Amino acid sequence: MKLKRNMDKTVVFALAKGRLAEKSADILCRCGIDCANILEPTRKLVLTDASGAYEFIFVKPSDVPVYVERGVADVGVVGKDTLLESGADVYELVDLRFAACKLALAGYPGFDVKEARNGLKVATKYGNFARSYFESRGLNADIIPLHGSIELGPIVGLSDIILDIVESGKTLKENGLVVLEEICDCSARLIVNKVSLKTKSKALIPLVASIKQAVAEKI
Amino acid sequence: MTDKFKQPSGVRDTLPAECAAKRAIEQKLLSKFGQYGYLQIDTPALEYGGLYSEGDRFDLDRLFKFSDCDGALLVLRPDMTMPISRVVATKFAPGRYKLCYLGSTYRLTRRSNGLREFTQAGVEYMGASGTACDAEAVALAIESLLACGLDDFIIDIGHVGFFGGILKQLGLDEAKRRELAALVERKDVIGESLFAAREGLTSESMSLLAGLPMLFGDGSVLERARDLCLNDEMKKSLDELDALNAALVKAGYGDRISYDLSLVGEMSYYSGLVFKGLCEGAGSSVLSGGRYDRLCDAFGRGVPSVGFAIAVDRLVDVLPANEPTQSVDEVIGCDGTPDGIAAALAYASAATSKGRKVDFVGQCSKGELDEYGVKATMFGSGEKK
Repeated sequence: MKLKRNMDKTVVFALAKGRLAEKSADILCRCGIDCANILEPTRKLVLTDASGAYEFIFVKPSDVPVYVERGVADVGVVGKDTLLESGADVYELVDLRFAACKLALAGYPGFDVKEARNGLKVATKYGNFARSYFESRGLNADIIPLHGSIELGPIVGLSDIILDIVESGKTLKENGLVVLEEICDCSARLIVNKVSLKTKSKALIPLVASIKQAVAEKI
Repeated sequence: MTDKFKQPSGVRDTLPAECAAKRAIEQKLLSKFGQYGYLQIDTPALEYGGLYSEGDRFDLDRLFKFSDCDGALLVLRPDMTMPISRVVATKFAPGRYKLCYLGSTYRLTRRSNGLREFTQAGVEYMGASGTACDAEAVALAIESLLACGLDDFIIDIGHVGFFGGILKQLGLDEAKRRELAALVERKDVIGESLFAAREGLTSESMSLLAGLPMLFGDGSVLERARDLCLNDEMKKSLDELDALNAALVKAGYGDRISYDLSLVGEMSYYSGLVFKGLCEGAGSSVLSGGRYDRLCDAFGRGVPSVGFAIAVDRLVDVLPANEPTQSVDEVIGCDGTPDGIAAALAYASAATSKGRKVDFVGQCSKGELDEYGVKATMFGSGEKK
């Protein structure tokens, strides 16, 4: 038998566990959705709000765009950096303004990215994004995919530079690295499945509007 | 040797139960197209790459490519509209043609979401233009999905002229146009505002771009959009949609249609109306179509056309699987002797010609046959046992 989920009018949210979920819950509460329960410590992966109109599924941050693109979740909250990396075909409707950071190139002070015409070695968690970014700049880069402690790349000589998100710059500083070039600003985004926005528009249009308002009020 | 267990990504086997369901849906679609006067046409899966690469109609990176013996570039067709346009423009006399198709199409994609070989069923009404033709295309799209038993769906309608008018006003070059189109397609307001700031766009254009993503919903969207028109191209696109909307609502299709003026159309060849079939639970569109009046220009002949394609595999996924698996009416077996085999074959020939479904199991015992729970007959040397 085929498993049919997400066929009724419940709005399904994909949230990344942790800080993004907390901040999202804060905004949703201000939009009048009683979802305090998603902040309580639990191992449950699926929760519903008090009214039953919303369902929350908790996934790995990088998986949020996948769930939303494939329509098993209607709406998701995800960092712009993760979204760029995924290349997911979704609507990106609201800048939620939290989890602000920058995607940047970092390395030892004085390293000139433009000088490194051939075989620039770049360590990054954002392999897909890095590939298209360096292609668009006409730089022949050797992308080295890592999953954590990216800053180690230049230190141990694995890479010339890194492409990573930078918040305070503290980790870079403690490791003797600096931002060489900023690529773009990132923050949490509200993404919506391209079909759901139209087929569940009665629920989603007011929701998007009130989230926009809640974000604007907070600033 | 482990390769024998593997399959390339993006392709799938269709097993009997699903195959029966898929064939049933395809039959319903073809029969509906036929009832509306569309004649079925087949074209080869192989085409020259030039058919798709010329005029940047299709990104070659997204096609399966081969070299012909003489080095010419061959591709597996990524859609059916281009081959059918080729046929009409090069093999048919000028005139009005209603054609429909069912076939496999191929797209080379790294993305996890979607098949690389997928079945499309669709129609092309070539050699005619006007609101009446556009309305028939949308109506037939609705009727086709209804015929398959799909219920929770809408046809989301846009017009490339509206966004085209905005682009014209902005005076951007081709690369910038594409960048902006991609942002609009994603309803990425943040990206649009960054783009507007970087390109130094006027505040008038900026506020229009900011409002564009939310210009979707029922027919009232067309009225809201009226106030935003900057030039005749935008006005003309709304005039066309107004006329279409009036006709479709009057025909009783009002609750099946919605509008989205930021629908840019994934195919660059669309020249007017564009529409998508959106179905709850499908995740992505099950139907996609539009008007493409200038596609045949490349063949030296102007053929105004409108059409749509249905993603049959997605439709199968979203429809409840309630087709019963085909069972046989009776089973037969034999003792393995030439006489037994001959008798069984003769029996099968006679019974099947009368329309009965007969499963000839092979050499077996009567006991084995009885386990099937349908009429069972054994054939042995010389006579029936």
